[in-house]
Amino acid sequence: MKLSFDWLSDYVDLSGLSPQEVADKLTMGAFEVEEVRRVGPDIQGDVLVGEIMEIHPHPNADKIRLTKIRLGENGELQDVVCGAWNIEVGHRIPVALPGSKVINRKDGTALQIVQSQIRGVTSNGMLCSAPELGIAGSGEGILLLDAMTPLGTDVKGLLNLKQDSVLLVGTRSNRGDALSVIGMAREVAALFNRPLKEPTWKIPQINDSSAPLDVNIENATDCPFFSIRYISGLKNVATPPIMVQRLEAIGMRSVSSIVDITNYVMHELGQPLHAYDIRHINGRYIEARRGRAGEKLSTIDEKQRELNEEVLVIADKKGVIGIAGVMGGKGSEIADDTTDIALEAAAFASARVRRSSRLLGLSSDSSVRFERSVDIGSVRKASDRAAYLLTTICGGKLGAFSSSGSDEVKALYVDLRLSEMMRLTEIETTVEEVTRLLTPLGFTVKDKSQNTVTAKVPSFRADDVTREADLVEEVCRLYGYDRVPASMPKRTIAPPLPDTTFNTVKEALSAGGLNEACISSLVALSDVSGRGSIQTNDAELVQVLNPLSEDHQVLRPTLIPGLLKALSYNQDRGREDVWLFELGLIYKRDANIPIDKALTGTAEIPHVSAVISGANDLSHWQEKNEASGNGKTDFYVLKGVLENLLHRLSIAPDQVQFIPSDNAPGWFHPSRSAQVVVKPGNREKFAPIELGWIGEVHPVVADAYGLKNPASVFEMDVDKLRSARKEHAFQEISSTPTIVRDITADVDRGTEAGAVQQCIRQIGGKLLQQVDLVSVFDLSDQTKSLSYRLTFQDSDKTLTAEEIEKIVGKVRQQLTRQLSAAFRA
Amino acid sequence: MQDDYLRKLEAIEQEAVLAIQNAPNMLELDTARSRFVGKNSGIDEVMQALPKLSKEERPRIGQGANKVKTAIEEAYKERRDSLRRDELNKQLSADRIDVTLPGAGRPIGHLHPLTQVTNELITIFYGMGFSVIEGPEIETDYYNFDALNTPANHPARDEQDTFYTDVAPQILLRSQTSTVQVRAMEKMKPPLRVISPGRVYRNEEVNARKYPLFHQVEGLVIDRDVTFGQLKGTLNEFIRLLFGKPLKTRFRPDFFPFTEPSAELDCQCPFCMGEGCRTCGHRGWIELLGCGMVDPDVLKGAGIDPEEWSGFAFGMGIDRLTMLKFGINDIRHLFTSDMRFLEQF
Repeated sequence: MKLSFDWLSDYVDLSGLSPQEVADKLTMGAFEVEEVRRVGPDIQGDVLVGEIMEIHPHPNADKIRLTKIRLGENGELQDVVCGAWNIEVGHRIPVALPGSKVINRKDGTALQIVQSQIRGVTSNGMLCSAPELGIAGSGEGILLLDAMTPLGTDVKGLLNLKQDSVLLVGTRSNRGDALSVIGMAREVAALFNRPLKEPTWKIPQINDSSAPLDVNIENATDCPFFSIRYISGLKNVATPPIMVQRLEAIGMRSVSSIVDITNYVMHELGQPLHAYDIRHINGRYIEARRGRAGEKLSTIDEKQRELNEEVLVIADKKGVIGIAGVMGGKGSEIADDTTDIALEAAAFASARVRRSSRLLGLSSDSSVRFERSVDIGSVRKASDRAAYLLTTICGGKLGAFSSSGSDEVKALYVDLRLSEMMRLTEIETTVEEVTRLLTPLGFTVKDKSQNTVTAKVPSFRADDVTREADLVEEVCRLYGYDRVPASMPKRTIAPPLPDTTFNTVKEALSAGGLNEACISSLVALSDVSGRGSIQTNDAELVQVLNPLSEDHQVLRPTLIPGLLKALSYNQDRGREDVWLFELGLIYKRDANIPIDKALTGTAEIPHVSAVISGANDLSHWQEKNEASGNGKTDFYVLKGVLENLLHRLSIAPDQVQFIPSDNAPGWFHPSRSAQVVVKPGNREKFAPIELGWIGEVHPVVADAYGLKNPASVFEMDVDKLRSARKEHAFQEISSTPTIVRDITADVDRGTEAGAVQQCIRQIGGKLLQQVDLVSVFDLSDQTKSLSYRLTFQDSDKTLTAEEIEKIVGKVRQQLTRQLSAAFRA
Repeated sequence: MQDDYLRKLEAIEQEAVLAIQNAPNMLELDTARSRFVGKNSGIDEVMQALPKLSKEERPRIGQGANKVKTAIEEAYKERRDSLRRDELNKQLSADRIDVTLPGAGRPIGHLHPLTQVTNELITIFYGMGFSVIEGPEIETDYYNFDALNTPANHPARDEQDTFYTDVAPQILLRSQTSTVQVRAMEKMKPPLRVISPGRVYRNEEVNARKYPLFHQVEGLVIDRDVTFGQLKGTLNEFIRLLFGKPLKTRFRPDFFPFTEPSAELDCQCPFCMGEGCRTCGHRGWIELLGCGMVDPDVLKGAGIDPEEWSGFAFGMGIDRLTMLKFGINDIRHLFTSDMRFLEQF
């Protein structure tokens, strides 16, 4: 909200305070002031009312003339050269005398007036146009003043030409009362401990005896109080400069005096008002009721609005004339020739105005105030204040005031224990101090007992101060948050150690050369269903009803599409080597989870997913040797990354199985992917844990995501990784010698190395410490050769060659029996 | 006779040492040695002749011969070591590599700046006795709003444009981590001291400052005699640890439906120390977080007696903090996964 410092000074004594001081105090005690801006003309020195006595042609120029003016009834005539042509002898005009400062109308800078020679003629000042005095002027030429204005009057005072400061004050959803000059004045008064003041005015006697308008409220919940004041014979004259300037200072354009006055009172008192031209009101009847399907209204912003039963409207006998609390209708708008008006002042329910405003997508100064709730106790006062200003400024006769509903305010009393102040804020206070702090805010504070005060809550705070805690806050902020001494919680707590799995996973993967990504959990529906012929179980998807865009419609059921998009994004920017991982939640509906107060029928599971593409080793300058292949990433490179991760989580490699499956999710290459399963022990009771999937990206998917190079991905369930973690257990390091034997088995190319290794381990028994695959090569289209290095050791004694040969022989035998392996001599 | 031998020995020594010292390589060095101390060498000759000498002469000549032998051996060793040293130095200098070539292997990966800052926050608060808890992102409107004193039609509901889901009308994506407050109070008995970092969602147009999802960390302390002063002390300490220097702070009144009194915490801009710079918009202050004393109605709703217990809560945006810490000017960088961005941290 914009607050005029000048306007504020009508309601609270600001003498000796700068706008910045007020802003700082407000920021620290009530509402943040985001900015203080200077507005209005900086006019200095003598700018007086003069009268043009003579006009002569300039002896040396055609476009300018020489005037003789006087500044008093018997004053000396002064020569002033003037270039404007709208002046005539007898006009009263503003004259800026030498030494004064006005505004350069060309660029808005300061214009110093000096006695000068203009083409050989001395000019003792300047006749001023509206822009030169910093006021929004209509038309060209010198500003013509009222012929009755006394000569020699200071124009600065006459036109209220002074600089003002505008404070940009933050608003709060619970403080509708503060959206007004008087509301802010109360805060300033309380913070500086200065008295509030109020302009004196009195509503005149009713002097129009026409019958009052009938008013009606359909539903007191929507509108507890509704009033119409009839005023006739108004003249839509020029709005007084002080009002125009104050309205302009806070960003409101001056429209016409009648409209300006309703706006002025709204900003002054916080109560929105609306004036209808009585010529367009049918049947001298106005009601507040719900809209009806099919009803339409052109609002004053010239837009056609479709109404319905959710919208509260103002209507006459024939139809809708306004949207209650939001905006009036174009048809009954005040015009320049309006004379008779119906002035509406009402209390509309905040929830209803909110609903109307949302449904119509229409917000106004009025709706913003009603939504934050206006003071029902001030409705009548605002109507009276506007009636006073209207009849004073625009003439006219005051007619009847008709109302419906009740604006009675139920007194609300709230107790505050001083001990509670102490308990919650450590502020030791007294009844006197609480009284001093709260009174300027409109509270009436009474001493209840030694320790407790009772505060009568003013009607304009009835919505936000209802409990002791609310008073604690009021007292605390007025006392000053900065005066509350800082301390630390008294209790010492040794909190349980945070779970380390997330960080261990992240550290292990980044150590493996992957960068961590953080990707939107809202994805496009096509990302998880359809694109690249991926079919997700739609029944498990959680969708957003009001998505920001199609790209943010579904909560991701997998991390993979996000990483593929990230990969594609980087590839499109010329980056080929992309190694990324993300640890984040995936979301799905879960029929086993109910929907109730605490549960949402959905599951959120932490997953970790990685994608790699491009080169394996980034030291391109080194010559690639045969062993490192072509240096490109593939399934095995990513598998190595995953194995390292599992190691880091103390998940034993011999318990992890990579199982090829026809049921791999659609992201994966069907014959270059595996399900990763952990069998945490040999005994039956340990159920296998399905960690996730790893594989190369399905070429169709790669194509759908516009990937330029092959890529591999994995996705693991982190909760399952956590459950598979084991504590490390020390094993005695044996000093007996180890014996190494190599065996090379020729098997069918379809035979999995895993099966060969499993067989070797099984037969090798306890003495077989380690099995390393040394080489794999294809012998023919049908067969391949696998070489293993077997390391034997007995921790108790030195093994003999015979013992080892026996075991190796058995291994060969079983490999042949189980896997039809052949052994070459 | 005797003097002849001694003179001979002296001459041998002189000649031998000279030859050894001048031997240009190992081969010639070895040749020189065997020439002077091996079979048929001058010394050998003297030694051969020893038995022929008188009893008196024998030891003197013998000792003399041994002395010369030792001197030659020493000269040999010295020369040998020197030649080896030269050889090694030659080899070492032939081994020279270009140490300015880049290191081999895959460079280590980078943790996302949000992870780094979140971990830092957790560490700081852990040190002050806070444990970490989690709460769901898919929430009920009860925990997101009602339990936090924000009933339907409360204008504060509009300030956080909320995403609703197709699961049920009351199931939404949480707009704040404050949801965890009431969940924690229901699940754990006071005293409690927890933080909860996590992702939140708001239906706002994407721009340099706003993204439809971002991250917050919520803090909650419930105990006997928890005061506003302790809230101030805890957060002042947090800021000191986060920025590594004591920065001035100020607590300004603000409004949150679920705290009373409520405050916004500004800290002195750590970049200009309050002088005013681009980061703080020339204000000298940076708005860091919202906080306040837990509203008694929120405590009551969670089954905690507000007359016996009191508490404070705070919440801050991790993304904003991360951007501030690293000087990131656009929130979208955090979510784009551009390698050129990720590799900077």
